[in-house]
Amino acid sequence: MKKMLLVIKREFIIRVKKKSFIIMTVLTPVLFACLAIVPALISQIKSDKEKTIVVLDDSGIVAGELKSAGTIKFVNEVKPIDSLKNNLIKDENYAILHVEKGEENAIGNITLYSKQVAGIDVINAIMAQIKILAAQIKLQEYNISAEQIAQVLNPNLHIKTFQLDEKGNEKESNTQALMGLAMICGVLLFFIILMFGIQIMRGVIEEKSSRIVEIIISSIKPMYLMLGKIIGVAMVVLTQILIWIILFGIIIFVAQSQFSDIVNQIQSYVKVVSFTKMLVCFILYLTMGYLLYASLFAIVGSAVDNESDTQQLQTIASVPLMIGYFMMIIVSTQPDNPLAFWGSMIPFTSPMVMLARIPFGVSWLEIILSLAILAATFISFTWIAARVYRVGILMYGKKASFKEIIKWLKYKQ
Amino acid sequence: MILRTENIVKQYADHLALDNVSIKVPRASIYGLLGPNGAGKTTLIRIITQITAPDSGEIYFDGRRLHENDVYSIGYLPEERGLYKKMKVGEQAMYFARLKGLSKHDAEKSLREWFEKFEIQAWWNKKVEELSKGMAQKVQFIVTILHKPKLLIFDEPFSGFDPINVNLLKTEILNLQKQGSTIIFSTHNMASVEELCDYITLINKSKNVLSGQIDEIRHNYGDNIFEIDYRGETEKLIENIGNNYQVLDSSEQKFFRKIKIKAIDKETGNALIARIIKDAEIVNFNEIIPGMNDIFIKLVEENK
Repeated sequence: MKKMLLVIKREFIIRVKKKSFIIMTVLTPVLFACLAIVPALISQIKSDKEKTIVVLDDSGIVAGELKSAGTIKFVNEVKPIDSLKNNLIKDENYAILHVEKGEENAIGNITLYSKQVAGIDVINAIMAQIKILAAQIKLQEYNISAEQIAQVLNPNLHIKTFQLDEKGNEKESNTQALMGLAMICGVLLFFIILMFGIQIMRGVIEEKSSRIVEIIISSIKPMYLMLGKIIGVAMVVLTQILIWIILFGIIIFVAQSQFSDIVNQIQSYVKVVSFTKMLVCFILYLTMGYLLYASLFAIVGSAVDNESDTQQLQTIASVPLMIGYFMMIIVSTQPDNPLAFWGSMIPFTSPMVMLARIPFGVSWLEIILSLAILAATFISFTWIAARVYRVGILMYGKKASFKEIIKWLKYKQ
Repeated sequence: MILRTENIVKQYADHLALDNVSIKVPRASIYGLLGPNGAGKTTLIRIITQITAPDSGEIYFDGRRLHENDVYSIGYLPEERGLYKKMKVGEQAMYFARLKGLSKHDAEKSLREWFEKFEIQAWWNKKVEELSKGMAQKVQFIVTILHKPKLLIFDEPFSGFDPINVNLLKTEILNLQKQGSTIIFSTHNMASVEELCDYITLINKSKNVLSGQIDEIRHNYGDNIFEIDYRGETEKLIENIGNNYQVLDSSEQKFFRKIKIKAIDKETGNALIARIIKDAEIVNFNEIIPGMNDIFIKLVEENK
């Protein structure tokens, strides 16, 4: 036990002292900030160039009704389409919208001619207006007044969401915000597990290929060496997260006035019942998910002879993690998908999938069940890894096949 | 006996690594573990150091069954050694010393002493990747012996060292023996076996094929050939020795004559001297004892 502490300490210190650790610690929040801010910035940068669209309306419904909005400007023309097309090639106009007459006072085919490929935003803007116009025509046939139509088509509705807890108290929930938070947690969890899992693998390979392991395991049992390594790296992860939280706290505190929006938002997150659930689950799933994958990567490290051999086995170890990541993305938009339940029970994917489900409300019972499965799996995998590891680290000169790894399990200590 | 193994068997998937190997290592001796590559020496060492466990057989250390805590009393320098490249020498030595159960204070104190003895104090804060192979091996040697183990196991300790450092190491190994440590010493260098070892075991094809005191073994493997320098007449000498002996070679030197005689029927040297001494003055008498090299090759070839 005392010796395992020594291993933990060494694994921790050598990593924390590295420049890359310091860089990672500072850079990751910056990177995340960029991920959050950049899309917002990009969406603000819109082309301000005016797009004039010439409308040739054969139906008599559209002309004059299309409202210029934003950069799109509509101009009516009554000329044969061919001459308009000829003009378009020469002039500065963006496109020609040709609306044909359909049967029974309806809109027929709609065609858009443009010099460049028309952007989806332009098409959406046109179609949104035309659809409303078409609906209006139909509704007028049923003798519904323009006012009523307006009420139907543009109802002044907003949704407010509340969450009821077990005692029937209601709290305003902020599903959007929680979803965002869940995604950030899920992505963070994915990267942390993958990154530090690979670090464990590298550490094992270093000891194995440099034969240090012989000296070490003549003084400490391989199982404790492996556990020490896994726990030491886990400490690094926790330290990093702690630093991030503190950094974040300081920034918010120092620049409270500049970030009042964010502060308010955070306060609104915290108010939500699920926030605590989210945080507790994040830490529990991160820890156990990490422990599960760390043992897998330790197996990979002990089974190969040098780093260039890792490719295949490393893939086997990281594919379930990737699957979990994609499941998380699907589940975050389709929480009722059966994938959500099974994905959050299967231990290899549950850390990420469950995090994505939490904003939509998951009972503690399900969470506990999923955690219990995950715990049982990581304990048995650690056990398996310890058995494979102690044989693998002394097998030099070749990469072990999958069959051999299974065989190692049965070896006497 | 500091160490005794009884009928150790170790089977790997499709290969029997050790087949009923028993050895007895007397306290404060230097014990050579010999054998061709792949004979099973490393497996035996790994079993003694508890890196792996035998399938069957018993190991006794210091009078009782080998115990988990005995790792503190054993120091092992593997043949293929490594250090953490990115770690500083001192830091790393401390880590290994503390894994062997030394307290922080004791570890640092004796490390400083040894660094001074080997004149490598300046390396304390250097990273291992900056050291040469020989330098790194010095560090490893220190780490192995630092916790003053009762039993030391060296696997090819001299490989990679220059002759000066080989001598330094030999002196230290002999010092350790004087202080009461027992040393198991695995090597292919037969000259150093003859020089250092008191006892040997030869493992070939997973079996212990030869064990015992080195002088006795060499004597037993002798062909009863004696080399005698003498003054006197050769004819008379040959006449005196009779039919139990066979003259292999004789020559004329400046001040004496030299003759090589093989004894048939296991006649002892004394009997031969008694026969010669009547008519010749013996200047020098010695039995030609085969070197470990010859014995090694002979045994391994025989078992092919």
